[in-house]
Amino acid sequence: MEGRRRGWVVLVVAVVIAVAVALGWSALRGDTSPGGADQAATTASADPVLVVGEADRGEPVALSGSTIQGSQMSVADLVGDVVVVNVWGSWCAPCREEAPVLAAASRDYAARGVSFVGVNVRDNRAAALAFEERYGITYPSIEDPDGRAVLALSGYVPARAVPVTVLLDREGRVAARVLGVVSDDILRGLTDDLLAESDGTPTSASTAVRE
Amino acid sequence: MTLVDEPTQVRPPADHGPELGPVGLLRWAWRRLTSMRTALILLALLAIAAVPGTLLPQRGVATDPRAVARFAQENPDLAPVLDALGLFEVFAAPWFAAIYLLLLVSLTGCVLPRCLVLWRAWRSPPPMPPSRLEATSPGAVSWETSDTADEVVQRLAAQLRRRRFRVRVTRAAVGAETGHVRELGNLAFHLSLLVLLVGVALGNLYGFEGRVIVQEGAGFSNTRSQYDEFWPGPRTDEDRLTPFSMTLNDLAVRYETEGARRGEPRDFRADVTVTGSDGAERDTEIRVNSPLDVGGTKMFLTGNGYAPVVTVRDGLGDTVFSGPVTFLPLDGMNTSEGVIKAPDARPQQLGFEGVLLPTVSSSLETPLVSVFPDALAPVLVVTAWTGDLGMSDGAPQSVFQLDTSDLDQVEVDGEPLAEGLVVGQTVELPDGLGSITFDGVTRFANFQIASDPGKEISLVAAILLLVGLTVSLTVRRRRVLALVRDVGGHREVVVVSRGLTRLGPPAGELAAVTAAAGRPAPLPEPSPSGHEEPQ
Repeated sequence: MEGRRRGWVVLVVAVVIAVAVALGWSALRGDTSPGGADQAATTASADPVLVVGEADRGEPVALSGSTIQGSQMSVADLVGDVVVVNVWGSWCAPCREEAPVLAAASRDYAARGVSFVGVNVRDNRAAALAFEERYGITYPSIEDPDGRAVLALSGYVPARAVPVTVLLDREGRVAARVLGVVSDDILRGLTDDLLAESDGTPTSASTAVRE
Repeated sequence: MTLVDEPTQVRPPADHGPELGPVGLLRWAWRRLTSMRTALILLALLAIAAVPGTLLPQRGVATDPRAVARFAQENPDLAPVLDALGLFEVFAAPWFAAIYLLLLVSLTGCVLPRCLVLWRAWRSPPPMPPSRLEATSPGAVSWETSDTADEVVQRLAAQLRRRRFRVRVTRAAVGAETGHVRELGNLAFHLSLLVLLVGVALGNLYGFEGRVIVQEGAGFSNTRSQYDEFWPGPRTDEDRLTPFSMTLNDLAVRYETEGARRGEPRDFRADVTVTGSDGAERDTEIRVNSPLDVGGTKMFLTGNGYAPVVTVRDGLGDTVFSGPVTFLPLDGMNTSEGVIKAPDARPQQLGFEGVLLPTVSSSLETPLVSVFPDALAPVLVVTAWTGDLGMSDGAPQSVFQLDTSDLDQVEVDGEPLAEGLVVGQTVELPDGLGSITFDGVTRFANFQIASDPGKEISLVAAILLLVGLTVSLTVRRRRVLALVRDVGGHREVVVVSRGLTRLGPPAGELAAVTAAAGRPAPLPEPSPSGHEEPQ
């Protein structure tokens, strides 16, 4: 092969290999997320707030079990109320950051037809009760030592880490999910939207923007 | 004016071929890529590239997630260099992916045309003997006959058909071939190589591996947030894992108590209750090489340890923690260490660092050591800390580590508090900070969870590959060609057998066929003594 043609050949081969590498990179380079018990909760996500439009909601969620307070409860009994479900653990530091927000909101919305329910994972009753006493949380929490409650929620909405807050509409269907620490504005905004739904009042336009 | 007429144009030097256009270049590049040599080079490159991936610890391996960190600790100078070269993530590196992809392309381009050739070879009818088939050709057998050409040809054809040759017959010639299934085997081998690569790729793309620690009495549900560690493939759907729950009722570990192997684990058995997505519950066992299989997702029992059960009371007398805490084993005697946090203790938060010794020798001398891995006489040694555990700023913390930067160690008489507790014993902390009680010991199991959607494909492809390879190496493809002609007043039959594979035709086949077709017995070999036997 003479010099000029060899140059072309080398160029073509190099381009082919570069394309192969680029294709290989994009096809096989995935989202490896090595979260671990070492990092008690990975709360980073590209999509922390997910709102499910009324037409897309699935079946009512079946969430029930014994509570850390020692009684039994089921979310099915709360149909008619908007329900805020918060998955938490006393060992989880971000859960402590959002606890005051949830405590305040649970008090403020109590008379307006909103129920709050906790799902306590990987914890023991004494530590969970001490956590609730510290932050003034008065709503019940279902204890979930084997993750069944979380599994029931995951069927409808991705819940990849703790903490996660899921909002159910008045029929018990998943309407919104917040991954990670839930801020006051987001929690109240989503709750207000769901309350307004069944009242017939048009929901705020900002709902769609929040995704 | 020159003396010699020179051509008006310069002829190109002799080794210049015709100019290749861009299409020609691409075709050349494709042919180079799909040549057998390139495929072999790429295969060798893949093997070489896999060497550092096998010898060095890799990130993201479920069986030993902290291998790289340990290696970096032991080799602080070498580790950053290797890391910069990407040698701790060989199988996820783009250059490895490029080699794999190029190999896939090369193999496909190489194998598929060859499959076409092999298919045609399998379907091809046997050739006829050349008209100049000589009795003196190597391996030829010939004899004179007085039968008609037709009779000889039919007898030969019948013999060959009985030996399962494909036979073609003309008035005075026979062409026969057998062993076509070799081509089929060759075809199967090449195709299954491709399918095997696809199966492996599928498993890597859509499968995942994960790890979770489950304490006795607790359980696990197959959803992303329940995993301690999770390594998905690039296209794994993390939100649609096979839904199931399991509860670990009991973990039985049996250790060798006698002899030279004293202290070695003999058996692990996890008694679990599994609930499928349909709600049906079943009790089953998970043993070391007998995983739980739910819809393609497998749970393997890969490790175990102890979770001491403690109760922490705060300064106000309230119980602020009561339950098992996973401690991680450090050595073969299951000396384990862990951390207990009581962030809701009042008046001050409490934290404890503990070392669990499952079996302490009866003398309780210092330093305390564990002498047997089973929890026969457990002692929990604790030191206490108080202050700010650092959990209120919302940043996630390790559940196995105590951040002591804002903590003060609890002291007794100027010395840090360090108590060895036996089961049932309580130590009161000074200054009304609280107390901690060692209630007992439970076990935890470490499960490795894996899903490999391509493994059935890989298995079938691997079996087919071996079968195809065996067939292609053992089946002898051969031809038998026969010609009957009249030469010099005699009728001569010439039969020749040609092997098409390295093994050649089976010995004695030609002799048997021709003898059965009417060839007179050949003269016997002269005896060693040199006498000629009478005919």
